[in-house]
Amino acid sequence: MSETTPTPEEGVTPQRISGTLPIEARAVFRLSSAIFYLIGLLVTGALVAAAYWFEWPTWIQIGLIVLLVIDVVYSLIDLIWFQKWKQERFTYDVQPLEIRIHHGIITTHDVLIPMTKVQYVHAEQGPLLRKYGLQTITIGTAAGSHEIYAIEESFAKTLREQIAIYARIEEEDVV
Amino acid sequence: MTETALTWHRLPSRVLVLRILEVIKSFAIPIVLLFVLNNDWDSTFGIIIRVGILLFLLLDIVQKFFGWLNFRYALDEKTVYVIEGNWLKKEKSLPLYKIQSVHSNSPFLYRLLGVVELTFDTNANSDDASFKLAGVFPTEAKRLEEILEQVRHRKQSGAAVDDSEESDETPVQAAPVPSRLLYALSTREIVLASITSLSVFAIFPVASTVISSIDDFINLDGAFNQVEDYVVHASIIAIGLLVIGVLMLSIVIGMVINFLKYGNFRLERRGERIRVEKGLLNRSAKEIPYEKIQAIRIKETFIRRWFHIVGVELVAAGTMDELKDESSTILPFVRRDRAMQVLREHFTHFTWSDELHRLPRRALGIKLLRISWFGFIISGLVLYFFRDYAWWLLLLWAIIIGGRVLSFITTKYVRMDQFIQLRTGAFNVRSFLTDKPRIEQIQVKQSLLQRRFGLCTVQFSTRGGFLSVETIDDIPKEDADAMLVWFSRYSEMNENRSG
Repeated sequence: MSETTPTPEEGVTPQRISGTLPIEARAVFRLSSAIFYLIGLLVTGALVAAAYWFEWPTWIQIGLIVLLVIDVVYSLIDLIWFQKWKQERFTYDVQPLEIRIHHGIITTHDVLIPMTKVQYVHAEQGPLLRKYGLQTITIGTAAGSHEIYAIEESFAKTLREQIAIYARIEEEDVV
Repeated sequence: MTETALTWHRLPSRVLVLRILEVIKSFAIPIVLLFVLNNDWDSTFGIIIRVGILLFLLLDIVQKFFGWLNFRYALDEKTVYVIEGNWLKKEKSLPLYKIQSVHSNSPFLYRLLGVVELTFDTNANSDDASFKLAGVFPTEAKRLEEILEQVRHRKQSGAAVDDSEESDETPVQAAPVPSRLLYALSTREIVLASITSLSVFAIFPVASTVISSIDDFINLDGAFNQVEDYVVHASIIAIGLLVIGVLMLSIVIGMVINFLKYGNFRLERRGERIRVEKGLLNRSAKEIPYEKIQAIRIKETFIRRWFHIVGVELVAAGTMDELKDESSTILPFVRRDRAMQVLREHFTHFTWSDELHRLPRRALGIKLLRISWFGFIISGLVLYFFRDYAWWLLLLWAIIIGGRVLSFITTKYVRMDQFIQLRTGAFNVRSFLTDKPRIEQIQVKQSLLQRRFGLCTVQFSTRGGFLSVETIDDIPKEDADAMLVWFSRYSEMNENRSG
């Protein structure tokens, strides 16, 4: 693993690909967490119903209702603001020598990965992402992986290929 | 290479005895339970289960026999071949130059029969990437290690030389690499380590659990109450003697365990490899090539710190097996100055720095401000259910707050040239040293509270699994940003340009 610097002679113009997530990503985030919260609400709701139906002790009834209220309020806050911020506050910056990812709503994360350490780039697409024509890119190093979620499909393809070129990931067995 | 040109070896026949002993060992608990303690053949269910166990045992032994019969290995000068499998024949071949290290391990049963277990490790992470010879004679182990040493030697010396020369190269050239003893644990050190181990105090909870669980099975009623009566009525001196006696006993037990584990501990250097040998009953030898070392970690426990005793371990890249606890410990408990001397002399590609920065004063503020959920939950439970014991909460909070103050005092860091050195922890302190080329990524995290104080958490990852990640809390944001700039390949380029 030698550190190589792309030079103009190689024909690759050093370019910088940076940006935020598209606005459609917000819809995907909201939908997927809405599904998650719906399940949570159904379970809590069922528990509250059971508590009244089977006449469980009062403190359990009150506790479960408080839980349900917290659940509803938190779900709404999360769906309205947090998912929006999640999309807005995600930025990535891919340069020939390094990748920087900045994300996080309450706790911010700033990750710096040198290109030489990148071992693989994957693209994935679940049903929700497919509906909106988006893809998630996973960048893996020996120490773990990072995701650039929900970017536009064809752009994801170029970005992935670009990272693979920068990282010199070649189709051969390297030991 | 055709198959006929190779000489195939089986593992020695006494390995078969070893396998059978292992099977019996693994069935020991059910056998003792069903045939010794509770040997009744009356009920149908009892008969079924006993016959079943015996059948399983027999089946396992038969399988082990064919496993032994079908396992064969061979070597030529470039590759090692293995054939194994009872139902599914599996042939593996592994180029010798890919083998990074050989570990030998001899558990008690192996030593009894005079064989060792050899594990050959490559750099890759997949299952096929390593193989094991579970039971060969020490002479054979030595022969294999020598062959590997030759391959390594040839690779180093003949990297630029043509392939054609390989056939001329005879063992004449392969002088074994001299191994140099870096450290051997003395008896005194093991004794001291056993005394300073915190596990000395663990005997009280352990003993009470053991006694009460024995009490569940066998009725100890009278005996136990008598002891209690005695304790209640005895004088303070008698209780003191009893406590001291129990402590002494646990020290002795700890000593025995430490002697078995670390007896005859040797740290050696063989060329570009580090070799650790340890253990009295289960003797194991582990090799770590220098180039796989990702970072060095020094650990100091609360008590041992007063005696300036430290433990040193290597963070090495490689298979998961190597990441297991303590496998990469190169010095388990050694005086600080001697450990540093070994590190300075033989791990020269890591430079330790003496002057580290402390955290800014506001870091103490943030550490004290954080809510201790653990403390609050315990306090709530105690105040609600066991109000009589509320005084103990003072001790709990003293430990929590003391721990935070200690963590403020111990946390230090420095970035010097290529190196980053971190010292973290509260009661147990650990120091971590790695350098820029070995860091895989840096992650800077900032929580809401930290944002108010202008502080950050920085996480450094090297390759080598989750043990290789080191985190430092509450350092100033400017320093964290400076670390990112330092780590960025672009600032490196600019430096080169200007310099």
